[in-house]
Amino acid sequence: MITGRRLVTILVIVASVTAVLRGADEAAAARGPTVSWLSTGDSFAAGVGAGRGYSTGTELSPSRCVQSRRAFGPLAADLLRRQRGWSIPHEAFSACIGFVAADFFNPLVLDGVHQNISQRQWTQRQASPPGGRFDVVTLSYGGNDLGFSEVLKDCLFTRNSWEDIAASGVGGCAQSEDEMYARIDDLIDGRPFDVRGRPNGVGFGPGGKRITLSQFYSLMADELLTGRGILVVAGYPRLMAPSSTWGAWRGRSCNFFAWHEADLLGRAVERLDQRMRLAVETARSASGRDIRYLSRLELFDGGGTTHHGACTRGVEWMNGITQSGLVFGNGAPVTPTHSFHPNRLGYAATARKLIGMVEADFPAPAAPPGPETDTQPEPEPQPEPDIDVGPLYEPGEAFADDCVVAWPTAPLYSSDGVTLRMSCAGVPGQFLFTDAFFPNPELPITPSTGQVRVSGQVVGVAESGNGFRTLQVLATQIGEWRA
Amino acid sequence: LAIAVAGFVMVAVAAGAYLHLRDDVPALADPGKVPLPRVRDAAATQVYLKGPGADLLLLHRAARPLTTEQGTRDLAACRRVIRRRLHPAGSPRSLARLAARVPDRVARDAFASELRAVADVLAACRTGDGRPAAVEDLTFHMTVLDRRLKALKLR
Repeated sequence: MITGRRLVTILVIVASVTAVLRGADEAAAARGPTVSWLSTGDSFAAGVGAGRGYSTGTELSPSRCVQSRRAFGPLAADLLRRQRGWSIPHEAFSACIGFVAADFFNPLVLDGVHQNISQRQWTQRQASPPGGRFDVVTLSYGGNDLGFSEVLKDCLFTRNSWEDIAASGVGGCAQSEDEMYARIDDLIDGRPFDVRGRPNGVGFGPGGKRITLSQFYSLMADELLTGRGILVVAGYPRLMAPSSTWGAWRGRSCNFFAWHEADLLGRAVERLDQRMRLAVETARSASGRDIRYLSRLELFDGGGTTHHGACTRGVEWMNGITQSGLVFGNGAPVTPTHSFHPNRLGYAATARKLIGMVEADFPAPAAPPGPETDTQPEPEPQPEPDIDVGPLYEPGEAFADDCVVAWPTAPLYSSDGVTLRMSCAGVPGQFLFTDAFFPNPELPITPSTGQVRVSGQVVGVAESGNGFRTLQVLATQIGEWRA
Repeated sequence: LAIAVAGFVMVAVAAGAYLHLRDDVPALADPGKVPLPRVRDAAATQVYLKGPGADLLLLHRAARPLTTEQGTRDLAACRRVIRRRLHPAGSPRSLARLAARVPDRVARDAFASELRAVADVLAACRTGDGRPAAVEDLTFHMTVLDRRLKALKLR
């Protein structure tokens, strides 16, 4: 029988051997820089909500720590390896669902049980870069410190009987806007609302020392970064798009939330984003370290023009209530798990943003000098390819997928071409169909035509009067027919 | 004169507050006219709503009296609806859990919104505050859901 300690040892050995082998492979193929990389934080850094590909077996607690390589940190590292030739021989991924900022430097408390390991020690077990320092550190903390999941639960159903609702009201969000703002301000000042089973007063610093959030960022940078290292602090996105941008069919509620509750939560996230950004700026000035802020609010709001929160008319980068998302605990009301977390698209968009923030700071090493010649040829400028994070279904993006015509909706012929309503294998369920326009009315397509490859470009998202979305594609090739 | 001025001010403030609230609350579209998309795959939802999720259909039928004046005129009327019709469907939380698992995404969202609207109507029973808007919401979501269930061949 394998004991817990033995299991830990085995896992550490396996992880080390894998890292060494991967490092050797990368060193052989590398043409980019060699860096060390740490992704840490809470569920918004662990990839919760990203869909398939979870790993739940970690040395901490095999059934507890849900992680996905689709999380923005590991995904960015993988993309830089594959598409930029980066070598990342030392990589740690120590983000986990439910973690709070105090977990990094203090012994973890999992399901109320005190562990003899901190998140930092867990990180070090996974990767040991020279001096225990990393070139890129990404993190996301704060949501659990605020007790945000409890706030969400309160907003859902706090009463479990119809009589209680009739007698005392729905309950709704128990926290007022001012109370939410106060929690955010306390977090910034280093007084987290939720300390996850630790005695009141435990702060973010080692030994539970009370420090502000900006001091925590400075400390993380001091303790973990190499001389050239960058710490990227990721903020939190709006969970639901502003109610004014919802599809009409949703009426005045979405995912159990009334419109005004969704907007209240949105304002709280705006406040959090503003205060976290300020904390990062303070940390950067105070420490002299390279600490940067990745605003997921700004990113998911699309500059205020295209919202990507749940319930949006556009493309959702956030999960709403998911099929596996409501769990009833012991007396707890409703526990959203993967609900109200970024989906695969949201993590991919964040990874792309992250790459844009760090890539230029780690140039490829200069090529070794060749044999001397009289004239040195000028190196040909190579245009940098954009990082491909997979389809985000934004207008202008290339489209390629395997699709079938959604019979009995007949193709619509016009003098310019034919529009086909299709179901495409890779297009997420938030789009009911893909409408592909092929600029050739001679396209021979019949009900007996099976699956065909459709290539072209996303030109937009169409929304019906009640808010249902259809992806619009201008097809340049359908099967073997080219436009 | 003072009483008249005070009365006028109170009426003006109340009217202003009412108009402000009306401006603030988003208007609803006509739920009977908004186009509904074609169902992608009805089978899984049919199996679910005829099996483990059957209580959701029970709720959908049971909630209809809450859209009428008779069913919601006071707390006693609402309690009758609760006792006779909502109890057999289940508790709010059990129904929320069932709604979250409906395979068809549109029906899932519509059930969730209907459940929320039922709760809002009941919450308005005691004092009557907000009842018209709550009943309007419930009627809206029931109509959208009716149409979706019909498209799923569940009506």
